[in-house]
Amino acid sequence: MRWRGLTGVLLLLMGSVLAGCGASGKSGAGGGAGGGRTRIVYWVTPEIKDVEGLEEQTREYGDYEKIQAAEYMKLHPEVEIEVQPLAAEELTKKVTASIAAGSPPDLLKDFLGRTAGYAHQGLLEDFLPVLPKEELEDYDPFYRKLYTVDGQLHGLPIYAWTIAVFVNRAIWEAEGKADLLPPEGKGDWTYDQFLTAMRAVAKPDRVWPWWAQFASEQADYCNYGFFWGKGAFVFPPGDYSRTTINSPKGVEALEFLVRMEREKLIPPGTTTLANSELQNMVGQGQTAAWGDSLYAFQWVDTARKQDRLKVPVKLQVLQFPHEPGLKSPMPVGPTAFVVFKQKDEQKRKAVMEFARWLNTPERQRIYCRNARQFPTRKSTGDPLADDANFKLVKQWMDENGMVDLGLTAPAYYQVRVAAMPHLQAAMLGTKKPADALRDIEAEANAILQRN
Amino acid sequence: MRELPEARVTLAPVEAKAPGLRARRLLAGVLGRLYRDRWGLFFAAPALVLFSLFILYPLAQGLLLSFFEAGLSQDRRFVGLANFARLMGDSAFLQAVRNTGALVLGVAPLSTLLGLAISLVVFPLSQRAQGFFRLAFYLPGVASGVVLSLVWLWIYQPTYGLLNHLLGLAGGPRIAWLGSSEWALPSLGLVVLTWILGQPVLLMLAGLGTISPELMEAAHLDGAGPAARLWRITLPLLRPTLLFVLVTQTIAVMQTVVVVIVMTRGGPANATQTFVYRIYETAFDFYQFGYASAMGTVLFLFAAAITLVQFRLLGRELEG
Repeated sequence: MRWRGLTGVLLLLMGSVLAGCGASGKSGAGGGAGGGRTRIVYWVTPEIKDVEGLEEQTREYGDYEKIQAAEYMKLHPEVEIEVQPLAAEELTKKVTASIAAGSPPDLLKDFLGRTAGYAHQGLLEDFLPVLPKEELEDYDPFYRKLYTVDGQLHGLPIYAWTIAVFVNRAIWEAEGKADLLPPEGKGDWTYDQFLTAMRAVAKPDRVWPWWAQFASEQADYCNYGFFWGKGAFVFPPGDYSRTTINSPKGVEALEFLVRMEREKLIPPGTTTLANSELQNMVGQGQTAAWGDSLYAFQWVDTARKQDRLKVPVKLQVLQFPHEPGLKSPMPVGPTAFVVFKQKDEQKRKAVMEFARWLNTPERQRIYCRNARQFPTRKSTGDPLADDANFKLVKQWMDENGMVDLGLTAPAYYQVRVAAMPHLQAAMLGTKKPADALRDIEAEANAILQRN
Repeated sequence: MRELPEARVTLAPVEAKAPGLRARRLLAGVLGRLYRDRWGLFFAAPALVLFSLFILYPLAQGLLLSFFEAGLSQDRRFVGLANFARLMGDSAFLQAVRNTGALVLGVAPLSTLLGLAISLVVFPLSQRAQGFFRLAFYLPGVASGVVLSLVWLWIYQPTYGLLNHLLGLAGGPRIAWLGSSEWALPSLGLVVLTWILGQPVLLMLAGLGTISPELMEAAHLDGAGPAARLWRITLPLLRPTLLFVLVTQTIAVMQTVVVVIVMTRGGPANATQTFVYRIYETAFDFYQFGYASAMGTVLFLFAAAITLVQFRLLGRELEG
């Protein structure tokens, strides 16, 4: 009797452990639709906070999305939404781990460079069957094309960033050297002009003017910006089967960056400095210029309000330098809502419906204003029409054209990651720039062939 | 004596005829033993279930996966030993093995020796003082690895960090502690050392407490000095603790990953790439789960081999 009771307790214990595991798996997958409410797990990248008019309620990333989810649940009581903000440093690995574990989020807001990889693996739902014709045609054809993989629209594009050079003009003004910068409202300069301006404000052991970002692939565009102005690109336009970064012009561009490092125009330890450290350096006047999206205005404003700027900061937006006679094309990086494959038809409909609701022109306007990015729907209009810098950058996009970053290449993200150690080695001087680019080419081409 | 072969001849058919009987007896024996040990099993069951679910099952899955090519999708292709063969030519992996080896050789013995030295100094102190030092050294071990790494990031920061500031006051040069190939790995090693030092201190203090004071007194009366007592009494009696500490410290250092993720991401130029970080990167950045599993299998074999060697070398007299 005692033995039977003991067996019962053991079985109960094992059952509860297994039930716990089952429940957690279900939660990760967003739960089913049968019976009660349909549960949607929604993961968001850290891009929107301090939303105009809701500053108090949206101090952290994910706060605004939680407000939206609450609003949607009020309208649709049959739906339950769990919002999880992702940290920039771990978002790729977290999403990958969840996919590998078979429990990805239902809805993800993420960058095309990553979502295209998931689409190529057949992990995402197709939006084409659920979008009415007029809604589909409201999306800019440029973004529609970017998001079409194997004939399927794998995401609803929300907004897109572009990267430019930002300088703290106050530092040049304090030195009486502001005339070395392109005048305000104009943005282009050559490599020589760029170098002269940087040298003019460099101070040994105190100011390293160019904030280079070699610590991770997340900011590699800020380094590749120096390649584009020389006509060197990671991928040839439209061909993602091989890389063309190892070219004489590519070597020249990397040599230019290495030369800046040797001249101490770039901070020491640039190969491992985190973004937050570099933002602190801007606030302390230790660095004066960097590559960034228009969101730079936002974080500088926030830092000012939080009294983290110890020196005057007056931002001016400029283009990456270019060779005489060439233009510096602009990169574009869109973000979209993507839906991971669903087994339950009712739930699939619910998630896609929620994604469409999140991406109406009115809501896009709010995202674009607060993330300082460009809209993807025609009817969204010009959310930052009152912003002179936004208009200026838009003008450069039109005049200089856009870089084909290869965002939709199946192994785009892996190529980015694989390139970093070689670029770092060049910056450290343990590899010559030509050797670094040759090694990137070999590794990237091997990855591209495997995929 | 002649009867023996006959006896064998007569016994063999009986065994062959009754395999069912033997199996039944065996089963009854096992069940009987299970019944006898039921309370022990009952209390061990939760741990056994969790261990099986979260350690043994993933371990078996990992071993199995290392023979497959597996990406993000659920499709898998059997590739035999190809993943293991590929490891031999993977320069980043080999660099990770070298770095991990350097960390293990530098940090594990040092933490064991330092732990011993600190516990020898702390042991004679009052219980209260001992408690304070136990807590102080163990605190980093229970604090979040991420938080500790962030504190060290600030210490090592090259332009406004504490260490360079202090160096600057002394007229020293500005060093990119984490951003140069020469300094990055030793700097990371120091962080790992401070992180894991608590366990040796705690265990060795406990080990010292088990040594009979009478032994020490007798040795003292016999004219043995402090060095002789340390060498002839303390160290031999601490040998089981030393072995345990060395093995666990070696395994802990081999698994270094959080500090790498937070502080260097394996950089610069793979200078701080470690075994586990390479596995993590291969799986979650490059989506090569089969290949990453092969790395995990090799790590498992390395750890097992090193543990065996340590047991052989240090545990020889324990068995006797």
